[in-house]
Amino acid sequence: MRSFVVRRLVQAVTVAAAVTTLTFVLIHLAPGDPLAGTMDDPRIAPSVRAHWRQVYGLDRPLPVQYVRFLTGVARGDLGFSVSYNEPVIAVIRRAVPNTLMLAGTALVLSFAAGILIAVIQVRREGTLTDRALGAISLGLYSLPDFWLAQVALLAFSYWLPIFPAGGTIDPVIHPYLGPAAAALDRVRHLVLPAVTLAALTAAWIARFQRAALLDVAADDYLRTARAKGLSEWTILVRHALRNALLPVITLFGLSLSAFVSGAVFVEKVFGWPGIGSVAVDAVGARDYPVIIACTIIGSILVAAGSLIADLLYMLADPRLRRAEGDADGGATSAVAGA
Amino acid sequence: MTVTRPSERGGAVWVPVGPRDAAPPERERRRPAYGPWRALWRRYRRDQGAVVGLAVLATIAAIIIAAPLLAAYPPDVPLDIIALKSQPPSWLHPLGTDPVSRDVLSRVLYGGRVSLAIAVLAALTAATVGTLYGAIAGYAGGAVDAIMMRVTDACLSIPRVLLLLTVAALWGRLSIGGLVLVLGFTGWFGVSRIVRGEVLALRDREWAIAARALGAGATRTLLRHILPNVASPIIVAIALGIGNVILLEAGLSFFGVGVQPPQASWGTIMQDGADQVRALWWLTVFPGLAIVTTVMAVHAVADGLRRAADPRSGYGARP
Amino acid sequence: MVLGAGCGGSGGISAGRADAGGTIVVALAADVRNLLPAYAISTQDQMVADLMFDRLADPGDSLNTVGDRGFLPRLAERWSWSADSLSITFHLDPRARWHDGVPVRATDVRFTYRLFTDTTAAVPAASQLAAIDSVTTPDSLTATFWFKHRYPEQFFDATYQMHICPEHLLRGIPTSALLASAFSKHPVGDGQFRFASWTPGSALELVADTMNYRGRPKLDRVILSISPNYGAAMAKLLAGDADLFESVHPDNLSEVRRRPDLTTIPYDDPSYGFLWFNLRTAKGTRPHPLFADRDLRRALSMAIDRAAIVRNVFDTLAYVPPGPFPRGASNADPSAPALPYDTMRADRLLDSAGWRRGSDGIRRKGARELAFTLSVPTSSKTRQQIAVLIQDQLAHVGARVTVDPMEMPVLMQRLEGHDFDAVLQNWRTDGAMDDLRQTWTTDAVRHGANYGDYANPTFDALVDSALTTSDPARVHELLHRAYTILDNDAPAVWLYQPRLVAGVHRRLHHAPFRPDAWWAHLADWSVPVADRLPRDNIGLTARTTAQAQ
Repeated sequence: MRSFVVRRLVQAVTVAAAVTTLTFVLIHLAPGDPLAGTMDDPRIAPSVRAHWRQVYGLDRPLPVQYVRFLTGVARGDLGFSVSYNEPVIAVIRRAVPNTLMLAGTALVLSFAAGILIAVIQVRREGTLTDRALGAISLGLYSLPDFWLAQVALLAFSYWLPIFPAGGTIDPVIHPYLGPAAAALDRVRHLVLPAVTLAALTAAWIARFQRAALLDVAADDYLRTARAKGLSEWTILVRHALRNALLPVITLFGLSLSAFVSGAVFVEKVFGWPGIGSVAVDAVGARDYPVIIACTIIGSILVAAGSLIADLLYMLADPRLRRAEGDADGGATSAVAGA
Repeated sequence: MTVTRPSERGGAVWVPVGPRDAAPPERERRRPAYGPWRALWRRYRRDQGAVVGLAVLATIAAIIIAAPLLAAYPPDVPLDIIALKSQPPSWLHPLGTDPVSRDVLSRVLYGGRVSLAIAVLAALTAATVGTLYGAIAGYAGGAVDAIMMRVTDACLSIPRVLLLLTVAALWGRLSIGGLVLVLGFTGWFGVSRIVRGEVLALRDREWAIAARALGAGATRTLLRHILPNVASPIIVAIALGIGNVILLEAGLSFFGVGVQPPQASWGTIMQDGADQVRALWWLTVFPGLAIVTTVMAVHAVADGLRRAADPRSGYGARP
Repeated sequence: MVLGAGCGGSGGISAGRADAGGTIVVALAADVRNLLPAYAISTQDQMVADLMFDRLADPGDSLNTVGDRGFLPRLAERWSWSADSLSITFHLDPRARWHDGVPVRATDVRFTYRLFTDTTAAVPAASQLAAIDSVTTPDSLTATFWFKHRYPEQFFDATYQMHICPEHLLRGIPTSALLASAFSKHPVGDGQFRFASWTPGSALELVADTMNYRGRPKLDRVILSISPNYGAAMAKLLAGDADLFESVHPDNLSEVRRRPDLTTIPYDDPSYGFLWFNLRTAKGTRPHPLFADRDLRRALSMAIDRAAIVRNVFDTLAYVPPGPFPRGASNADPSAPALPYDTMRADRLLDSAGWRRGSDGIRRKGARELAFTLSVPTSSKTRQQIAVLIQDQLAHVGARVTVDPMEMPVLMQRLEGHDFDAVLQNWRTDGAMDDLRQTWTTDAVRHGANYGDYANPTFDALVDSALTTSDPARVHELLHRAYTILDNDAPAVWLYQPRLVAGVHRRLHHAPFRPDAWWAHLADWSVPVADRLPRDNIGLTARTTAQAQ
C-alpha cells in the first residue's frame, strides 16, 4: 500500500511538472501580454510599457523566462501577478479557501441528495416516482452549468430577491456583524452557488448509486435477509445501501476534478472569488504566473482526488488490496478518463 | 464492468474499470460482421426512454434542417435597430429580439444548426483521434504505452475549461473549423483510455494472436480484428461527446470564445444577453432550454445505446 | 451586532460638524487595481487616489486647462507666476498633514515630481510632465516649478497630473518595488478621506479624515462595494445594498426610474469612441491596401449611420461627437465639420474609385475585395454591439466586414504593433488640448497612441500652434482648421460620446457630478439624520470595536 502511494505521488509530481510546462508554453505563445491589457490609456507612452515588460522579464526569450520561472518555483516563489499587483501566492491564498468552502459544501450536498434520490428510486423501482426522478436526474445532468447558475440568479436573486446576487459576504455590513449574524451572512451567500454546483453532480451520483443498488439487489444475502422477514426499507438501507455505497464513495475522489471545473462557471456567474474565477480572469488578462499556479492547483486536486478514490477502492475491495502491484496502478488511473 | 464518471462539465464518458476479463462476452466478439447492429437495435427498441430520446432528437434535427422554412426573419440581419431592439417575447417575435433587433426565434433555429454541426464534428474528431491514440498505445504496450498514457494523464488533469480557454487564446480568432478542432483535440483523452484498455485486453486473446500468426500485420490486426470489437463503447462515447460539446460550446461562448458575429449559435445568443440577464432574460432562458432538451435527448440515446450494447450491465457495477 | 455602536465623532476629537455622519456605499463593477496614485489608471483607481490624495491645485468645475483660471487651492493655498511665465511658485497650506500626522512639506512636492519623472519608475503620466525642467524648494512650504518653455496648459500639467505623495514613507523604497510595497496596500494620504481597509474582490473602505486641513467631510465613510461584473453591481443598487452605481445601463434605466427610493443623475463621460482605420499596415511599414485611400475612408464614414447606432446602443444618452474630443473638453469644437450620413454619396464615391459590386453584393477592384477585419475587445459589450451594426451597415454599400472580438491584452498588442485593419476604440481623456497631440499627430505614431498611423503635416502644425497659443479665440480658430483637415482626411469615424447615468439612493444629498470625476465633491455629500440607515450610524470607531471582539 505504501509503495503504491509513493508511486502515485511520484506520478502526480511528474504530471504536475508536465502540466506546468505545457501551460507555460501554450499561454506564452498566445498573443498578448499582461501589460498590454492593463495599460490601455492613450496617455501612456509606449516606452512606459516597454519599461515594465523589461521589469517583469517579458522581453526575454521564452526559454530564459521558463528557467527564471522554474528557479523561482524551486525557491517557493510563484512569481508576481501583474493584474493583482501582488505576489501570486497571496492571490492563491485568498482564493483557495473560497473554492474549498464552495466545493466542499456542494460535495456534501450532492452526495446526500444523490444517494437519497437513488434509494427512493430503487425502493420504488419501476414506478412513476422512479421514472420521474430518473428523468429529473437526466435533465439536471444535461444542463449547461453556467446557464443553471444564471437562471438560479434570475429566479432567486432578481425576480424573487431571496438571496444576494454574488460574493461570499456582504462587504459593507459583514465586518460589523456579531459571530452568529456573520455566519448567517456567509450561509446566505453560499446557498445559490453551492446548490447550483451540487445539483449538477447530484444527478450523476444518483444515476450511479441507483445502478449500484440494483446490482446488489440481486445478491444472495439480500434474499436471505428477505427470507428472515426484514422489511424492504431495512433491507435496502441496512444491507443493500451499505454494500452499494462503497463504489459510490470512490466517486468522492473522482468528483473533485468535476467540482473544480464546475466551479469555474458557477464562481464566474455568482462572482465567487475562488480559484476558478481567478483562473479565467488570469487567462483573459494574460497574467501568466497566476494561470500556471491555478493549473498546478487544479492538477494537484485531480491527482489527489484520483489517489483518494484509488485508496478507497482498495479498502472497499480486498481483491484489489492484494493486486496492488498491478502495473496499471489501481482502479482509477483507468477511470481518470473524460 | 463499467463506471461512468462526470466529464469536466457533467457529461459522462464510459470507461472500463476493473479486471479485464469482464469485457463483453466472447460469443459476440467472434462474429462481429454478423448482424450485431440488428441485435443492437432490437435491444435498443425495448428501452422506452431511449426511444423517446431518439424521437426528440429526430424532431430537433428536422426542425433545424427546416430552419429556412420555419424562421420568419433572417437570423443575422438587424430588423430595425431603434424600434425593435431588445423586445420581450410577443406574437411577432415569440422569443423576443436581441439588442441589435434580430429575431431570437430565427436565431435559435439557425443557431441550432451551428451548435449541432460543431458538436457532431468535434465529437467525431475526438473519437477518431482518441481511437487512434488509444489503439496505438494499447497495441504497442510497454514503455510506449506508459509514456502515451502519462501524456493523457497530464492533459486530463488540466480542467478542460481552462485548457480550452488557453488553447483558444493561442488560436486567436476561431472559425467554426477552428472551434471544432479545438473542441475535438481537447476531448479525445477519455476515448483514448477506453480504446487503449480494450485493445490491451484484446490484443493477447487467442484469436488476435492467431491472426498475427497467420501473417496479418499490426495495422491489419488492429483495424480488422480489434477495433470492430471496441466499436460499441466508441459509439457511446461519440454520443456522449456530442452532448458534452454542445454544453462546452455554450460554456465557451459564455467566456466570449465562440462563433464569429453576426452568426448565431445557441451559446452566442446567450452570450449576447449574458451581462443583462436581469433585463433581457429571454436571451438566456430560451437558447438554454433548446440546449437542455437536445442534450437530454442525446444522453437518453447514449444510455439506450449503452444498455443495448452491453445488456448485462446497468450503469456501474461492483468489481 | 455592533451596528449603531457609535454615532459620528471619533473618540473625543471634535467631529467638526454637528450633522456629520452617514455612509455611502458605492457599487463597483470591477476591482480597484492599486492604491498608488502614480499608477492609478482605471477610473476606480483614480477615484480612490482622488479621495485619499490631494493635488497642489484643482481645476474646479469649469475643468479649464488653460492658464490657472478657475483653479482652486488644494495643498497650495496660493501660487504666483514668474514674469516670464517660465516658473510657478506654489505656497503650501501650512495646515496640511499626512494622515499619520506628519506635515506636508515642499520636499514632498519635489519628491513626487522626481518619482513621476523617474524613468525607472515608468509612471504613466510621465510624458505629460516632460515640459517641466525641475522643482526646487526655497523653503519648507514653497515649491517652485521651472519649465523648459511656456505653453497654455503648463499650470494644468503641473497640478493635475500629480497627486502629491509622502516622501517620508516612500523615500526608502526602490522604484521597482513600489507596486509590491506595504504602502501600496495601506497608503497614507492627505485628502479628506483616509484609507481604512481593502479586501481585494470585496470592499475598500475609506473614512473621514476628521482633522483635515480642508475640513471634515460630512460623510463618515465611503465603502466601495466591489462586484466582479455589471449584473451583480446593479443588483446591489436595486437591493439597497449600495447607495450609488455610477453607470446604469440603458436597459436597466426604466427599472431604476420606477423605484421610489432611487434617483438617476446623468452626467458626461470624458471619453469618445471611434472606428479607427489603420492607414499603414505590416507594422506601419507600408500603406494599407484599403485605408491608405482617403476617398475610401470617407465613403465608409458616410455609410455609417452614427445617430442610429448611438440611439440603439445608448438610447438617448449619448452624443455623436463631431471630432476626437468629448463635449466640454478644452479642445472641443462643437462647430467642427462632420461628414454626413449619406449612403448615396458613399456609393458614388466607391463607384468612381473603381470599386465594382460583384454578384454577391461585395465590391471589388481588380482582384481585391472590399473586405476588412474590425477588431473589438471582448470586454466591451457596447463595442461588440456597435461592431455588428457597422458590419450590417457597411454591407449595404458593398463592404464585407469580419468582426473579430479579442481579449484586451491581444487588442492592445495589435494596436501597439500597428497590426490591424480597423478597430473600435474608446479613449478616455483628461480634457486637455494636449490630448490631440498624444493621439493624432505624426509625432504620436512613435511616441504616443496614434496607432492608425495618420500623418498630415498641416494638421500637426495647426495642433502645435494651438498648443502654444494663449489667446483663446486664436486657439479656437486653429483647432477649427485642424478639425476641418481631420474631417477631410477621415482617419477615423467618430462614433459616440457616452453620457452616463448614475443611480443614487434618495436619502443621500448629493453635490454636482463633475465629468472627469463624479466623486469630486463627495466630501459635500450628506445623509440627513432622519433618513439614516443602520449602516449610516456605524460611526468612526466601530471597526476597531468590531475587530476587538
